[in-house]
Formats: sequence, C-alpha cells, structure tokens
Amino acid sequence: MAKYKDVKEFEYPTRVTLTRALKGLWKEKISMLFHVLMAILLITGLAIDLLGVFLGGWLSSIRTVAHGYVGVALVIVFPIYLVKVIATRRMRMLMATVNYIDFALYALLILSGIAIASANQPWINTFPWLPSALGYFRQIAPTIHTVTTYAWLFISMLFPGGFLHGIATGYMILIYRGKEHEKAEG
Amino acid sequence: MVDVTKCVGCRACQVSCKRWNGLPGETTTLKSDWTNPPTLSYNTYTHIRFNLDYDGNSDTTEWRFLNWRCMQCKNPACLEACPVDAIVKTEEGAVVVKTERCIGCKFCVSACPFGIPQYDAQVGKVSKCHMCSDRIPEKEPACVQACPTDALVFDERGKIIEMAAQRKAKINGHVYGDVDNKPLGGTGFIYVADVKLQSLGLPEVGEKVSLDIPIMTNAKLLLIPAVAGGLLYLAAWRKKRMEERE
Repeated sequence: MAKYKDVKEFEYPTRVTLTRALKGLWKEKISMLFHVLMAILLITGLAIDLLGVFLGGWLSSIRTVAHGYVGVALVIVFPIYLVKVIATRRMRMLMATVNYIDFALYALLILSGIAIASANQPWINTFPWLPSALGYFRQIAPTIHTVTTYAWLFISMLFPGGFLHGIATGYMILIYRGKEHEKAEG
Repeated sequence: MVDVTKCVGCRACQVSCKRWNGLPGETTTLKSDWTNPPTLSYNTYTHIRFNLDYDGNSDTTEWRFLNWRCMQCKNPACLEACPVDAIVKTEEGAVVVKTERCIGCKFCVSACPFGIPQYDAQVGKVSKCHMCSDRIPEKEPACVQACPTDALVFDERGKIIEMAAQRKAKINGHVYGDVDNKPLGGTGFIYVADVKLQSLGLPEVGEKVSLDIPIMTNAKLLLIPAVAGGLLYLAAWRKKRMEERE
C-alpha cells in the first residue's frame, strides 16, 4: 500500500499588502523583470495607440526605443520565464486558468511584435529573410498586436488572477517561503 | 486618368517624379520584364510596370505599360489605420504622408490594399506619391506634365470619370477605379485600358479591404469594461479595508 505524505494544507493568505507583494516579486527576479518589461511595453503601446493623435512624431523614439528595444528584451526574457514557470512546481501550482490565457496572449503579442519589427533595422540586416518568410502574417500582425493588447487588458482586469497575477504570485511565494523558513527553524 | 493604351513606357513620369521630389536614384536590377526599378520604394513614388501579353490565337505579343503609384483613394485605408494622424487628405484629394509625424509603425503598409506605402528601415518612416500636393492646384503633377503622349491626364474627378467613360466607349475597353460604392469609395486615379486592368495586376477595388481597421478601432472599446472593472475592484478593496479598520 502506498504511503501518503502528510502535507499540511496550504493556507491562502487573506491580507495582501503592496510592500509584501513587491518583496515577493523581488525574490523572483525573472518574474519581476518580465512584469516590469510588460508594464513598460503596455504603457508605451497604449500611449502610441491612444495618444498618437496628440503626440504625433514625438512618439517615434518611444516606439523605437521604449517599445522596440524593450520588446526585444521581453522576447529574450519570456522563454526563460516560461521555462521557469513550467519547471517550478511551486509556480505551476499557483497558476490559474487566466494565467494560462495570459501566456497564450503574451505569445501572440510577441509573435505579432516580431512580425511588425521584422522590417525594422537592425533586424532586417540580421535576418533579411524574415519579412518574406512571415508572408501574410506580417500584413495582419498590426491588427493582431493591437487587438490582443486590448483583449489581454480586458481579460486581465475582469477576471481574478489576471492583472495582478505577477504580484499575487510573488506574494504567495513569499508567504510560502516564510512558512518553509519557520518550519526549518522550528 | 491613366490611359494605358496611350502609354509608350518612356518612363518620363518616373524621372520627373524623382526630379520634382528630389528623390535619389537607387541601385536596381533589370528584370526580364523590363520593369525598372522593379517595385516602388521609399525613394520611388511612381514607376512603369511592363506587361507583355501573348495572344495564343494570333500568335502575337503586345506590350502594355502601366503607370503605378498611389491611387489617392477617396476613403484611404492607410489614413484610417495611422495611429498618429500622419496621413491626411487634402482638399484636392491628395493623400499625403506628413513625414515629421510618421513614427514608422507600418500600419498603413498593412492596411493599403494596393501595397503602396513604402517603409524605409534606415529612415524609419513611410513615404508614397502625394499627387504633387505641393504643385496642385496651380500646376498639374510632375508626372502628368512630363507625359509626352497624354497618357496621364489631370483634372477634377467628375470630369475625369466622364473622359474615362468616353474613352472606354471609343476603344471598347475597361475602366478601373471609378466606383463610388466600394469600401475605398473609388480611387483618385482612374485607369482606362483595352483589357481588364486586373489582367495587368491591379486588384479589384475594395476587394482586398479587410476588416482590420474596424476591428482595431472597436478593440479599444474593451478598455471601457476593463477600466470599469478595475475601478469597481478598487472600490471593493477600499470598502473592505475601511470595514477592517472599523
């Protein structure tokens, strides 16, 4: 007969403070980095789409640097974050369905972002074959990128575990680690 | 109006366009169909497409030359797609890219069903034919002025449509771009030819206009429930906190 380990039921924290949540995020550096990059991209993307009429050419450098190069950083960080989430049981357990939808939308945003940027320098010099390889996807990429952003915002805001999932995840990890620490000491 | 039956492919329009707009020459490759430069680019607003038609019945060939550049649509998809209002339509009907406002997002490139706006990675902006908006209405566009065979004619749209209809009847040909009920509302440039213009590579007007633009515009509406939900969440959180304090 199989022996079952007596595991204490995980207590879901009832009180969330911003300080504790940020501390939790800080402990998960990749998660922190990913969410900071996402926040920058979201803010700059919305600025381009919603304030473009007022700001016009001023947005050129924001699009190139704050949206473009930060986007590249996210493309690099995303797979690392993804692997970490999949490989870490603790993080995997904390994921809700909404988080998985988030990941699917992130993937869409990244793929369409790559398609849009494929004609830009320096990528066109490094990967000159990419624009033609992407074909029709490149043509519909701006629509996918824009619509996915708003869909992501909608889902993240309205469903539990969405918009603040990074902070919540970090917070729960902090609590969990605290408990582990207490257990080890006690 | 572009009368394909009168064009002799001299490329005077190409040269005059380059000269008037101060556009530099570029390295090109000569293709087997003689179209040169092979495509429009950031520095090439207009070019002549060479088409060699073969009639199997009579075993004869015939050249047709197509002046190709921005169609100056009545309801331009590029203008609708631009998030920074860098594309405007002048009173005369010219669709103009304001380079200083362009952020190089390439949304217009994706939106245009004719594939006209050209992005340059080095400059990071988009350009296209602006129907010599800096010449009209005092002068006709440079390409029209340079055309030695009157294959290009510049006038008010109504008059051009009349002329195109007359020419069509005379040559028993076809007209392209005069429609008013398609998504793009017809085009500023009207083509007349003795063959269907689609056979020369022009898409059906309005045929390729996708749902991209209304989808993109309406997607913003998702912000309303998202923001409302966020505010409700904040209100609920505050209420709970107040209750806890009490």
